[in-house]
Amino acid sequence: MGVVQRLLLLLMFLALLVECLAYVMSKWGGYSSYPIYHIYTVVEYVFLMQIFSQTVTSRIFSRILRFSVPLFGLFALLNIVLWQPLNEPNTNATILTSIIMVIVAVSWFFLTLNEMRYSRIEKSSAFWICVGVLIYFSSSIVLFGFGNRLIEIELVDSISVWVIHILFNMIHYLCFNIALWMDPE
Amino acid sequence: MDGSGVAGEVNAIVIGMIGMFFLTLIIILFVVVYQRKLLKQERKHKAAEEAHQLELLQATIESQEVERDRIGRELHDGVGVMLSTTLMYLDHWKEEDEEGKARASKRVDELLHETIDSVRRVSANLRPVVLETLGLAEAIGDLTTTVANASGLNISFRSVYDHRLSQPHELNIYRVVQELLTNALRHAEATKITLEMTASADRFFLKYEDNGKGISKDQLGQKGLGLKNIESRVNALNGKLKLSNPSEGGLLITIDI
Repeated sequence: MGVVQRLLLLLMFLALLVECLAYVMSKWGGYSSYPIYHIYTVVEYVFLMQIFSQTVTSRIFSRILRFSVPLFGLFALLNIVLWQPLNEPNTNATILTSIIMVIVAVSWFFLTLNEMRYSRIEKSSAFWICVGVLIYFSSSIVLFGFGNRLIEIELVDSISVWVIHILFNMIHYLCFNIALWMDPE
Repeated sequence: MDGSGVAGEVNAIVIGMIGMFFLTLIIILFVVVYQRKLLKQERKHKAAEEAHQLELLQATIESQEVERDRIGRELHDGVGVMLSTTLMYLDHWKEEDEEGKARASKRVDELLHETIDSVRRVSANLRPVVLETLGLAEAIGDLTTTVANASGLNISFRSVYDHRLSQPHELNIYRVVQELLTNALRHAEATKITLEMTASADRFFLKYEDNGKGISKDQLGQKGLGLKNIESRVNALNGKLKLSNPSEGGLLITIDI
């Protein structure tokens, strides 16, 4: 298992932990899980940027990804302080994450095509990570773009949206699982 | 809130999400298909390059065998015959009278001198002495003079040789020039040949031009043994070879190392 796959496994474990914690907090504690997602968004960003920077050969691109981490952290902090406090959904940070992740994933595809690094691209773990990221975060741009509006709508009326979101999330983690079994980077 | 308005908003979000999903699928599919296509092209190009290198190697080996064959025949038919004749005279030496011995002595002397000249010619062809002692510019100058005198061609040679190359490099370039001149004599039907050579610390440039019949596109694609030899030697020197037919006719070859 390579470095990338270890980071991915850790990220998936953290995601599981966060989901369990959020569930427990809301079901048994009656607390809002929004604060956890404020923190998790940043943690997820850090992990994904680290994973992507390990898979690209372009040093400039790798440096840009690493440099964006503290900038994103700063933005997330400003978002909490100025626009969306901990008890509100962090749609701003989530949309920004989604847009950046889509750009990074598409850039990875473009760079990899130019480099001709793989004989079969679908056998690389990085490919499946990008597929999962692209599928989930592209739909998240739409979802969280209307996130604040969706909160105002009754869950019964917006259930189809959340079902699709869950489906894409499942595909997202399914792709990550496939990435764990592919050739290490 | 208007129910149909809410449903419309929800539907718009759903359509948006599904639309993004299909767009993503298209991108992923494009990447996989395009990558396969690029890989196929690269493999094809690599195979062609390997086939070409093999061709050059075979040409080099064939050329070496031809050269060895020629040297072998020259030694056998020239040196071998003369030494055998000398031995024959020496074998019958005791049987001859004084006059006969004098004639035989003179003949043996002539034969030995011819043998020495023949060996020197073969040796000079294998490793030109001028190249080793005076350098590339003088050796090529000497070669062009010899060829011009023997063939009647008008051959001009200009050089700016400020930076002497290593011996193996000089020998390779000398062989290239030999091959160029041989090709010109055999195939070009030229009356005038121009050679220019410049060498500095970081660049060597050789230009060959003649006023012969040039080279056709077919001949460029299916190069003869001589051109393949030249290409092989230039590749070994990490150089670039360019062949073209100038507008005024003839053939222009440039070698840039």
